[in-house]
Amino acid sequence: MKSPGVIGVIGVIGRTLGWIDDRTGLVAVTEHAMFHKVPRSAKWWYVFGSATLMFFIVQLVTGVLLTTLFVPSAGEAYQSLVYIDEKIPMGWMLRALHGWSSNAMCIMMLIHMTQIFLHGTYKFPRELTWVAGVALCVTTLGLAFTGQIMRWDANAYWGLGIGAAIVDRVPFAGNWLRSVVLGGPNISGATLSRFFALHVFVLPGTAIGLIGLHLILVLKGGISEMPKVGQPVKPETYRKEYEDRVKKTGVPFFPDAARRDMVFCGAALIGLIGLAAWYGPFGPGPVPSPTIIEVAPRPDGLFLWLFAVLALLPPDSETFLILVGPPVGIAFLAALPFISPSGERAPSRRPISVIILCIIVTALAVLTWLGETSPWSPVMKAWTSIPTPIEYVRHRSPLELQGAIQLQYAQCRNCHSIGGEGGERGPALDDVATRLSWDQLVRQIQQGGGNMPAYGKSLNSAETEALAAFLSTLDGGTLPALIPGAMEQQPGRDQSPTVDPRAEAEPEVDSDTVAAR
Amino acid sequence: MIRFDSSHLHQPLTSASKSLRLVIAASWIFVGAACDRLPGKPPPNPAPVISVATTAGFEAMWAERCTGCHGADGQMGAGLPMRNAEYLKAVPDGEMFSIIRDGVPSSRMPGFGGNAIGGVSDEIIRDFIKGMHTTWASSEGSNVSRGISWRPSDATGDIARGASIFAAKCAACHPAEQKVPVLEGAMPDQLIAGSVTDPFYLRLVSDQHLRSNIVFGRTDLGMPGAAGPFRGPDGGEVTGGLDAADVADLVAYLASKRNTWPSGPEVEDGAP
Repeated sequence: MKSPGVIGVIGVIGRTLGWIDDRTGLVAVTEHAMFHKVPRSAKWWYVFGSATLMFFIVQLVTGVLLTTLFVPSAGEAYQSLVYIDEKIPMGWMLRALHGWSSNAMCIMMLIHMTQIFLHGTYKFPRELTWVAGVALCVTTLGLAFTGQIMRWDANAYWGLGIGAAIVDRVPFAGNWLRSVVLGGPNISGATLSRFFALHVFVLPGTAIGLIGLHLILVLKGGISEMPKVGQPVKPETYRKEYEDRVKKTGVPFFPDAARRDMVFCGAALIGLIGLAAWYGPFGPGPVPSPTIIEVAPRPDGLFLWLFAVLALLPPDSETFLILVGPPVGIAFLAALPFISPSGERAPSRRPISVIILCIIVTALAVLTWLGETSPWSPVMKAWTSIPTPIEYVRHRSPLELQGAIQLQYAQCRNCHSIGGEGGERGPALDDVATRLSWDQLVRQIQQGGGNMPAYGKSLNSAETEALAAFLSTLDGGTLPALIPGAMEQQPGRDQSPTVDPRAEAEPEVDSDTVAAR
Repeated sequence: MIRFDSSHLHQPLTSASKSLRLVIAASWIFVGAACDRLPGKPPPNPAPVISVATTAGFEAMWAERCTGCHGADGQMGAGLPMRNAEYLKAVPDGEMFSIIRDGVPSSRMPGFGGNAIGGVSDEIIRDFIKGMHTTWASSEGSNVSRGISWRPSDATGDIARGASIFAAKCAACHPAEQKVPVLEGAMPDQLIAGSVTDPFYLRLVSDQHLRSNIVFGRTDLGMPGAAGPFRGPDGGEVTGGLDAADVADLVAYLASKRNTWPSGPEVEDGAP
């Protein structure tokens, strides 16, 4: 039994809603959005767009809360992150949720795009939905990139340094663009303010606008059906066919299709909280400082592939590819529905699209893996922290041991490994004596070559001698010489040093050298 | 007051809502008590520094900054082993401190404190030296140095006498040739260690380096300290250690060889 009071309250609410609907029409719009019919075949493939939106909402909520705590000034940003992590109750959780949700949003978005691409959903009449989606993709990546800079740690410095280097390459306007991006010639407080404005106002605003447009277009064009072989898109007849089918066999979006979205989003949200609780927030990494050289700055996971591309591009094509590649790629993506607006949607009938997708996914995966391991980065602490293998210390002469010390001291091992430890930028040196003769060793040390700097100026003759003497003992165990002249001792060194070798006859020197090892 | 009430047994709905309430209460307790102890909570910033005075702290710093030259456990590195309590005792802590903080000028020992990049504080270096003493205290007992001091006295060595001691006690393992091939499977007493009179070697090392090696040996590589025993020219064992004067003479003899070969055939363009 309801009391008259309750009935009265319900009546007031009902009248208020009626008034609002009369003036705005919002109820009708909501009703249409909730109960419009969607194809029966729209099943679990279709949940990724909703999940992306859900993560965006998480980003908005956590982002607003973080904005109230974060101090966007170069001097205090880092400390304010530490303050959020340590002093604000569950502040670290807030940062963790924001960071993990940003990654999750980007991943969901990429899966969503992949699905749309694979199913040919971008074709008529949903071209603009796709174009708005591509714009959203760029905006989201922009948010992720600027978000990394908000951490204002050494990795943020990396990101800014690379970004500045890219715009610097623009012909003619490079310098000007660089100062626009950085707010001056160098990374400074003005840079942080700029990226804060982008991350907190410009890009989220753009994203909200684009999401609205994207959703309106989805409602207008209708949710696509699962592609069927032999059911190509024909612009003349598609609309009518789609409407007929949906009217006949469609189900209301709410609750039939929305139920799957809600289940998936709920599971994704639980997964997100789990990740945040278990792995915690991202960074802040080492304090940003140009004088700290003992960091190997690396971008966040999403940009690792870009990091790898930048590191691996041949130097002469760098500028062209960096400046031309991304715009062309984005333009191609946006132009896709106009390149192929009709025809079959089923992946089995679009082998070229599937192959392109496979190539892109494989390339990104490999590049990301390379970026994660970054074998081109020197191991900055190798010279003091990785010992010379004991088998390379045993049975070595005092001079060779000095050479082993020189190898550490000149930081050769930051780029070269011996005994499986050290950098991977240059070749491993375990069998270098089978590949290079004494003269070649000395020349390589003094003049460099390949990617190796010349050490002739920084090593004196005794240091070079010791280094070459040690390296010439590294014959990979029992490997034979790969080139004639390798694995021979230095000419003239097996004589008594009290005799000036320049006084000795040349032939005698030669006959002695071969026997050494 | 606790009252036993069995009515819920007959009311499944109430029982369900009761256990629901229990679950909710438990999760609130969990949220309240455990959330700030979740594994994701970042450690305090800056992360607490493990004192290098502790074994763990000392080993971590050794591994990061010393193993490259002095070996993973303080020996069998290319540089002088520190796992030698006798040596550590002989070097005054003040000297060790300045070696670690500022390095040894014109040698390959860099400084790890002061103004060096990534340098550590004086206090950490002092703790580190304590750590060396405690970690390697058990490596004592051999008396390889015979109590000869680490730093030389003012007396200059006698080169001629040094040469004769060298011939009697050192030359069997350290022949004049820079390098003699070592046969695989050779017994330790047959090992030939290579030349120490090589001018390139001598240019790379200081007299103090020579002295430390002679006095404290490199037992990890099979070289005896001042106590011997040595190998004679005929391959037989020579007992009878070196005294302080012998060491000074040997160093003087080796130092006299440093510039006997001012520039080798390869290096005419650049003298050190």
